[in-house]
Amino acid sequence: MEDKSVKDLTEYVPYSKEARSFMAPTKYTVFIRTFIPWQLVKFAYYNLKMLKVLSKGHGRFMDK
Amino acid sequence: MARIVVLGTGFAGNTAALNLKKALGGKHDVIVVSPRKNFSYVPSLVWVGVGSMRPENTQFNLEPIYKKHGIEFKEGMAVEIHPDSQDQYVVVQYYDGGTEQIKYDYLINATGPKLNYAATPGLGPDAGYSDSICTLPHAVKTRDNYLKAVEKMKQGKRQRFIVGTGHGTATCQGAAFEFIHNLEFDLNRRGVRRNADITWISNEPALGDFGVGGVIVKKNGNLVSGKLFAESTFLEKGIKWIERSHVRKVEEDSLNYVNIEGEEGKLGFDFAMLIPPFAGIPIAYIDKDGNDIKGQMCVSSGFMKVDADYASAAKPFEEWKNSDWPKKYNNPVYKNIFAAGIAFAPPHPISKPFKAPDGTIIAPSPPRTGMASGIIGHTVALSIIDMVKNGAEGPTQEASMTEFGAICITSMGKSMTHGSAALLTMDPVVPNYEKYKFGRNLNYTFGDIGLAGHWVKYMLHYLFMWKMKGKFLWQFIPD
Repeated sequence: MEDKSVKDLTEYVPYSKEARSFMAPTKYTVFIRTFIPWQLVKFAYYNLKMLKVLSKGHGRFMDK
Repeated sequence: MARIVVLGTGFAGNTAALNLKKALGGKHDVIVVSPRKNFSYVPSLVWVGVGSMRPENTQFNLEPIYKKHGIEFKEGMAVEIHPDSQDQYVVVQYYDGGTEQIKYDYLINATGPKLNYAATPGLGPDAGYSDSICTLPHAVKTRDNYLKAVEKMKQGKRQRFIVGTGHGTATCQGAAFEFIHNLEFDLNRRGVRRNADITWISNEPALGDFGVGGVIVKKNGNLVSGKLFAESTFLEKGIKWIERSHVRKVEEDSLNYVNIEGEEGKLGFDFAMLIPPFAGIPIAYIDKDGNDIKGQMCVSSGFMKVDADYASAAKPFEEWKNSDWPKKYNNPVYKNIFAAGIAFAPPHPISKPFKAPDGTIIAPSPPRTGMASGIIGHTVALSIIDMVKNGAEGPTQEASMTEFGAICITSMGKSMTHGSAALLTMDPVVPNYEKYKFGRNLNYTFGDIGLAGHWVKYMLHYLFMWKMKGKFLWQFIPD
């Protein structure tokens, strides 16, 4: 059986169904994702973001 | 004196037990029943499965911890629940064949899922041909099979890897997504990536759906679909993918699938890690006359009914409402029985369900991650504490998945210097289209990929192991 539904974007095909919603990281993005000085900044930022979600609380006391 | 029995020692059960005992002290009994005395930190099993974390680093023995906190622990399997008043008890079966009746005033069912490999012929590591990372023994077996494939690749043999979901109604796509990225990362680390063909197969309506209806995040001044991010990670790493599919059967070296368009396919593999669908743990519910009342207590999949609107499951996706989802998690008939974590029955999926032309259901089940399970377990514990200490007539606390948020960290490679993870915060877990245009509060919904995400995942591993061990200041670590 042929696997028609297997998607493979390892080769970009212009005007293909997949190419219509195409997004891929550039070399700079791949580099910055593991560039430690910038990632230290990100680490602090992520923790603030998580605290923001947690600060909302998760339950609430019902009116009796 | 009240007696609270907790079934299960996962995120929900352990969180509930620790909080109950802390608040109720020695005046009341908290009894935990579980067939396993070890707590297993499931989110890190993706690392065990590719050999990048030792199994013993993901689990610890609960017995000394419960002893220290004054919690009674029974290492056995709950096989029957007798919920009628004046005669409320759980029958526990022990490994030596003996049984015991344990009476309760309040019961928390936090038993987690039964891994329903039987739903797909040939699925699973015990009686089938695929691997799994849902339990520690399965993750260890997965690691062993993976390393055998690596050895073949070192000898120049090409290997085909398939990772994803093994059934149209499976959940935990996020765990499979983590595994496929860690596998690809590890193959690179071992220098054999060029000999690998890696394919993703999933029941999600689109990549990046993760069973929660996908996510929209703010990125570089745009609102962007998580689908694009998920696809971009596969594109970057040369991973092929199949979505919207149900695996019909798994054979020794291949699997057959059908997608929602009705297209049938067959994929060959040398290694397959497929997440099974979940079902409720098989416990009998028996009334005072000896009748089996499981039909009243549970939905067809075996998960326990709570304060959700189960009639909504028959309605089309467009008519589902936030009020369908439970808030207090107690059973509508026996109100002193609660279900927390994976053990409660969701009213319906979160993602839009589909069917193949032949009627095969392709609908991801709602994921209930460790964070959601911990939140629900804590909420239930607070309600019981209020009923025991303050005489409240019913549950006083609520936490709906349509209201609380979650933090998901998807590992994409374990290394402190060049690893990566996708960090995703979403608020709420279940999209609330009545309140938000894009289903979620975009001020609290966020996504990014990078090394710092891995540091967060690593930090949370040790933070939550600390919390689950009930160590110093554990109560200040959020659920």
